[in-house]
Amino acid sequence: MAADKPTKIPRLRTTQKMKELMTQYYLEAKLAEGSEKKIAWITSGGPVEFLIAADIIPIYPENHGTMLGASRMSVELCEVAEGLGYSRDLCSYARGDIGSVITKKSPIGGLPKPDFLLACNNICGTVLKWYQFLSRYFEVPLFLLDTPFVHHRLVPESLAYVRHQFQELIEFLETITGQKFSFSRLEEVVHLSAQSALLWKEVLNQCTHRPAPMSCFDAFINMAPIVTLRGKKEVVHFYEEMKKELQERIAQGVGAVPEEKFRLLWDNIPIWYKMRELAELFAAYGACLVADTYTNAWVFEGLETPDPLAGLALAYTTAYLNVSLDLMVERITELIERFQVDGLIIHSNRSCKPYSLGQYDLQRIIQEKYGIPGLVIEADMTDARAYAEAQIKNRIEAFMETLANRQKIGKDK
Amino acid sequence: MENTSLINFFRRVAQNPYAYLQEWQAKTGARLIGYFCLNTPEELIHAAGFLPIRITGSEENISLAARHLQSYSCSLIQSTLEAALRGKLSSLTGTVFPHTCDSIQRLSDIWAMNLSFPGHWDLVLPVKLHTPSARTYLIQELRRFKKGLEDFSGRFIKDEDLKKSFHLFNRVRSLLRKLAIPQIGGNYSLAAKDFYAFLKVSAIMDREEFLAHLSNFMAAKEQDHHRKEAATPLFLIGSICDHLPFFDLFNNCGAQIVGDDLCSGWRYISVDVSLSGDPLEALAERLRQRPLCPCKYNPQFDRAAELLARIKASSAKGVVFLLQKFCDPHAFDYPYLKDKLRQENIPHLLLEIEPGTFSGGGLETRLRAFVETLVEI
Repeated sequence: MAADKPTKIPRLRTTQKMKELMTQYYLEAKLAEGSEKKIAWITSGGPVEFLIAADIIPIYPENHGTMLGASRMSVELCEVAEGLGYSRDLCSYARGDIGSVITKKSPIGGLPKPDFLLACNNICGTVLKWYQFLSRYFEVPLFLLDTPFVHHRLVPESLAYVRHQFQELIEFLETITGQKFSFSRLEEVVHLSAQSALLWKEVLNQCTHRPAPMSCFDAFINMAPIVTLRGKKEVVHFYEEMKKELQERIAQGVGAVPEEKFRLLWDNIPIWYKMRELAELFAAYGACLVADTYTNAWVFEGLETPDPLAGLALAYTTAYLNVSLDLMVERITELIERFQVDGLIIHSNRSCKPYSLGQYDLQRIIQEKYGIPGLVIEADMTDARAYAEAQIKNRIEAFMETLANRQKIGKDK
Repeated sequence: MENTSLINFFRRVAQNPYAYLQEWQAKTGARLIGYFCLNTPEELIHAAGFLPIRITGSEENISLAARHLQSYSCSLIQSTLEAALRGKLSSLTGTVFPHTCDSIQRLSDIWAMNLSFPGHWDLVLPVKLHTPSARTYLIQELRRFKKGLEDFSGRFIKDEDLKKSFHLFNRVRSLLRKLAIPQIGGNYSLAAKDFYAFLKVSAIMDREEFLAHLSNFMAAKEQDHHRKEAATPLFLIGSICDHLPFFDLFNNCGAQIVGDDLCSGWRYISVDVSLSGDPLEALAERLRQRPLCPCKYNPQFDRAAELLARIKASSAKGVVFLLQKFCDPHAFDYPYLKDKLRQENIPHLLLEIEPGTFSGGGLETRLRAFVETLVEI
């Protein structure tokens, strides 16, 4: 089994729609710069519903970071931050963003300046340090939403603390906008957000079908709206259309990979600058990455509750990266079963310690308990200097051979 | 014990803490609880009837831990996991992981999955320190930890037990502050290596015993106001440094440490617990008032300004940043602090400590060159 020729992968029509949606979003945001309209920079796990309800434009440096990675501008901008003394060992989203803020360079000519910052530490402690830099640089206030880490089980005191901070956030937003915060507007936004999250789950669930109509590489590209714009109507429409397209593919028997032989699960943030190469490499082996832990992190469940603040507190405190390893193993196990996964591709991401530390144990546990093998790839999400091309290719090839042998033995039995 | 023999004794304990603890435990039957990071309230552990032991890095070759931790984890977490997997921490009854950084948080998970200490506590302290809601949560979390310790030991912790522990720990801290390098407020000069050995031992040894030793030592020691004139005064900023040979480098290069902002230094001893009022509130207050850890958020506290004031008061001619490689929170503060120093024309040097066995050669060359430039000033 050789992977000499790159395998053509059918593209989703929806991806073009997503690009239009995101272009429109960034265009509006850029136009808003310097106007009456307020702009907030927010972390990917932050409670954007409050911003949308207060008619504030949310901007996600992490989403911008994926663009820097995919357009291969990241290394150049990381080097700018390194020149200031930021260690090369720090998160490459943060370094790339710092470089972009200073040089105003990026595929979209930099992000519009924030009026304030909202960091939620349910994804890492790094966001605090990163946003402290932004707060000093732009001389704008920072609101930290502090979501206590969940070790093994949720503690009611944590939820009460987070809920209380939502009230503080509302007061903070009222000071910034000079407007009374509308709870009924928040309820509408939360409703749309919950609807988007549910649709997103259904979109991802289409891959439970054999062959899977898309791979996680499609999900990575098309996750931008659920991350940045959930709580808006356009997002609901977008994912309705995406779901329809995937259902059409299923009806026509079209798979993301021409001949689906293996179903794999991706763990961690994508390697943004190697998406196409990796997608083609796996496809050449008939391997489809049918699920991943990253895009599933935006499947918020139980968001909509009679008390909107309670549902939001629960959803944002139990985010995937804010829970202990045993709970992550439970969630991965559920994905493995639901998507009938044959193997794991584990991206050990130098940039992201909360996602990566513990992966070796995770790999071992899944292998021991479920007999499902995993491959660890050491790399970085946007810093291409940490990617050893030949070595990774060899390791993937060897892993695919192992899977093929296992499948053969399984069939012979 | 003569002062010279006490110094030698403390050096031996600091060099090989776990061997000392094993021996001591066999002799006394004491129960030891290890903890990471100075955000852990040792006083609570002590009042529950355990001896709190600060777990710090050890000079291990990393082999067993490499099956659990990526090479981009810091020296502290790699080497402590290595020591635990090799059975060197077997004298501990349990371990406490306070929420500080992402790495400690995941180390807790890996620790719980792969080691079988009878006790394991996660102390999920707030990251915010300045708001009333964060304070309420902090006190609740301390109460939860107290309850966890009580359930484990089967013994209720009375307020008076807690206050006794506060008193003891305050006395240790206040003597250590006096002992601290002259320029940061103390009157007794001690070689840097020995001063940090004393600090390391103070977080390991039975506190009553340590206090008795330290009191005798200070009573016998001549006050020494005279700094070695020839030595270049330096200020040290970083997280943990308990590789004691590291401090020899300063001597070798003709420098003297006159102040620090280290987790294993001044930040450990700088603030006491109030003996009045509710004990858990007092503990919370101490955590809130301590010099700000880069993992915590308190916009009412300006870490750079506080550091600059202390650096200036210390008469240091230069600052050495001592970073554990892969320590994100400290690495993120470095460019900002460095710029502040530059604005004040304070020379500075960055030294990075890599995980694994400590090797001083390269560091010494860089430190020597730095000190030479300061002599010319």
